[in-house]
Amino acid sequence: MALLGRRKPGFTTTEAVDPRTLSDAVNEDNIVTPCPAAEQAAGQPPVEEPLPANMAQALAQFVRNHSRGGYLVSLAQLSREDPNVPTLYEQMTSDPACGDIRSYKTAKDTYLYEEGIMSELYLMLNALALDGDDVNTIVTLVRYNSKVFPTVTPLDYFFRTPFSMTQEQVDAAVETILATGGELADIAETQAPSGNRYLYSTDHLTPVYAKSLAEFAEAND
Amino acid sequence: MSVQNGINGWAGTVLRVNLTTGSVTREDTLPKYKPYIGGMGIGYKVIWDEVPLDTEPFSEEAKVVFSVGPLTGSGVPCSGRTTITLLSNWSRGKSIVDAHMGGHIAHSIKYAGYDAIIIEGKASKPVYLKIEDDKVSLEDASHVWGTGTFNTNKVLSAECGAEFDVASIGPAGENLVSMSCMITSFGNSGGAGVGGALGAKNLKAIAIRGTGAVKIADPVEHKNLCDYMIRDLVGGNNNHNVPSRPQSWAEYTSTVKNRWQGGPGVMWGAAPDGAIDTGEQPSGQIAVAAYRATKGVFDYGDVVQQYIVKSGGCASCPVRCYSEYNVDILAEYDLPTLVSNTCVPAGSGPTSFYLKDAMHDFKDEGDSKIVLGLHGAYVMDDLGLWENYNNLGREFAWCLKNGVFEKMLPKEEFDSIPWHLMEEGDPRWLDDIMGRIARKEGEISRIGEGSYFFYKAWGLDDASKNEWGVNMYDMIGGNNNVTYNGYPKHHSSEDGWQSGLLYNVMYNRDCMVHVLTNFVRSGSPFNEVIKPVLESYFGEGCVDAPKAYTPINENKVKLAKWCFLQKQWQDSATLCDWMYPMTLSSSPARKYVGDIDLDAKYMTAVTGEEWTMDDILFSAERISNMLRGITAISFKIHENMDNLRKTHDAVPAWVFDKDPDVPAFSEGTDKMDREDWEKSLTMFYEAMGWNVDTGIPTRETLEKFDLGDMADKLEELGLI
Repeated sequence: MALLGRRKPGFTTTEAVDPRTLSDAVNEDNIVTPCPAAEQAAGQPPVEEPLPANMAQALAQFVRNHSRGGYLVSLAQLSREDPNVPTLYEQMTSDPACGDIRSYKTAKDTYLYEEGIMSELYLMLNALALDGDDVNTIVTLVRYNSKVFPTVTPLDYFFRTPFSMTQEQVDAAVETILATGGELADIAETQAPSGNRYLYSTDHLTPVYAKSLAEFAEAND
Repeated sequence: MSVQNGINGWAGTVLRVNLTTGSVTREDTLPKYKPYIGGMGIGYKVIWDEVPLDTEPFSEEAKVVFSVGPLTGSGVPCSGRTTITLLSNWSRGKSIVDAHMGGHIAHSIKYAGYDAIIIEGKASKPVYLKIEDDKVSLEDASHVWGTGTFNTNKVLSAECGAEFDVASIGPAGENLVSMSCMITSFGNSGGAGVGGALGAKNLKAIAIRGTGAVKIADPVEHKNLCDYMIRDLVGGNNNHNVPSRPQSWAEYTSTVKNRWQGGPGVMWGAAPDGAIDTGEQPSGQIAVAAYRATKGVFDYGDVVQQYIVKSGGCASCPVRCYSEYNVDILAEYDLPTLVSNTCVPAGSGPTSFYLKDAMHDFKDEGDSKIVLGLHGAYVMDDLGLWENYNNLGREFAWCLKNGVFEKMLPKEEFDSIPWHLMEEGDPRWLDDIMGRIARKEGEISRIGEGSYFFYKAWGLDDASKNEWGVNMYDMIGGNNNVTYNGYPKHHSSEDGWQSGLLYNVMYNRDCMVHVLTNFVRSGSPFNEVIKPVLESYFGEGCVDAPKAYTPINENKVKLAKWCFLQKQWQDSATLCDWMYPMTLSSSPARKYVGDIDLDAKYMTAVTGEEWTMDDILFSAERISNMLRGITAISFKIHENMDNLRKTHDAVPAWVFDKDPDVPAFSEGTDKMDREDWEKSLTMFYEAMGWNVDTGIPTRETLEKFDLGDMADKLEELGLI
């Protein structure tokens, strides 16, 4: 690569390097930094995870593995894949060895997770994302942010994981929300000077305040 | 070197280089400079003792002081700063200013055995200063004179050796442009006119290598503190403590655009061996801290991810606020594609040189700021041009938008400018227009004199003197001037109510204080985190919610004074003022409570002496009073002004008159109230021990800090 990056052809010359002339940095002989922990571990027998005693505990382990990766387990989806899951779930809830498994209920589903791994906020976000109701997701979080911080919510908030909505999804949901009225009438839109769109709840923020918070949210100096 | 000298923390030696005579002398740092800590404190002491304040800043008689502090190079996180102290050539009063340079050169200064390098005199021809531990020499620089900083740093590194750190000035400094800086590493700059001050001395660069170390009194405690800080306190850049992307462990997600942009799905898309997902970055995990800032996304949005090579930063920094990029689009213009910078110089600064309508997408929607911003940052750095926290850009933008150049430039000059490049949104426009400023070519280059003198030259500081009927200081919109002295706000009342405005008006350049913005924009909720944590330090009512301010009170003044003193401490220690103090924590287990005593713990571990924050802030208050006393004397000498309150500290009208439909102290505005502001100033002066009518330190205050000689001078001039 040229000193200052890629140039048009002919701008720089390319030097061919024979990989055999490069030092073997990963050759053990070349590793000069001792690692006591690795040396100590080298002499130890491998650690074996105990197998679950029954299928309910296997389900619990499945939930734990997902939680540690930042995922909830949808009981509805799992039950569709394996009809035994509802029974196993009942057994799991009464098994003391599965006492760390908790459930998060929404109107659409029950989600399983390991206690102490995910924050309450992330449980809520994850469950909303898995429910897949874009309108409810946006309304819930706009109200939450307006009340708790208090702040306005940028539309690109919903592009982020775990929602990963597309622009089209967000636009469609926002259009629905703003046109619905009734129980969604508290959701309003404001814009920053950049033209970027924000939503807020009039239950918690006035229009004047919301507009100023949108400006505040975008300052980038 | 300090280890050999047996001194903990400090290197022990101040180096003095006289460019006129070529003499190199050394003096002990201690005990003389200990009351001033290091860095800024040493710089202020040297200027006060040795440089008459009527000295022309760009002259042989002026001095420039490079200095580091007892924590620099000790391994304390975020201690890679160099403070450069000089007299301003560009702001009203021509008083004392400092530049603050990151990169890696601070460590090299320290490891070479020096706490400060005093540059004095003027070389008869272009030279560079070469330092390798105790070997100090002046070397011919004629072969790099006239070339950019990147070439200079590369050539001198090749000449001296790859282990040398180099900082150099560019054409702007050589041509004595006031808006000039010096550049080290890959775009780390020290501004405030340093380039011109060194150019006036024919000093092109400093190349330095140190093979020593910093002696630490209690290395075990030091290591424990460093781990504790990164594990339990540090968040992203500016120590923003809540991620902006949902993470499974995080109790909050920021909806404010903050400086913790890394997270699941946020990529370093141009990493050499394939894209890297910055992933989850839980508080408590030291190894992932450097993924958090991913600052490019803050500066440019998600579209920039494809160009990010990695997060770079200064020596001893686990935060990494300098994203490095490979913007291959620039190759189509035969321009360098490997670029790096951060914040204003890389974004709104360069793009201010285009009309908004002229900017266009290159490959993806919204990528013009990336292409133009990063190339502009490269050009400015290479020219050694300083943007005065984008006053330069704002002024250019205003002139461009309002047809000022057409009226003010001679026709021949106006017609010689390739405006079509600007109109086409071509990045090469920046090479041309910034080059004219850096080379002082034509009337347009007066913008490089800095706001104060530029406004005067074109009559833009008086509505009756220009056909646009504006006073650039007072106008609402497109104006960030925080005083009438020629520099903008730097996170002022818009972030920090009266407290922010108070410390913004104390300096002779943009204040570069980030203490308040670090928690106000942290992404934390106000009522659950920010308010309780800050009130636990400073008492009830010290902090306001964004855009919902309340009248001044004692605790806001207490907070303002603390922030003001912190700045002097950080630049003396030297610690990064984007990160310190550790007001908040990223740790849910700590309830987000930071550790504002951490600095003292570091000082104790490193020096082996018992330091408290009271000790630290006492020394910082001494330096603060030096700033104020020197400013008062400069204003008297250069402007015949004897009241800082009515002159230096005067705040432009827009701060009070913006948002005309929203009253001050109501939700929806950050505007200030004039009567309340006057009360704020009075309370702040009282807290500092300054005369409330003039804003000048009293003799009693100065003598408390052993600054009786300064009181004598102020008295001699009739200022106290």
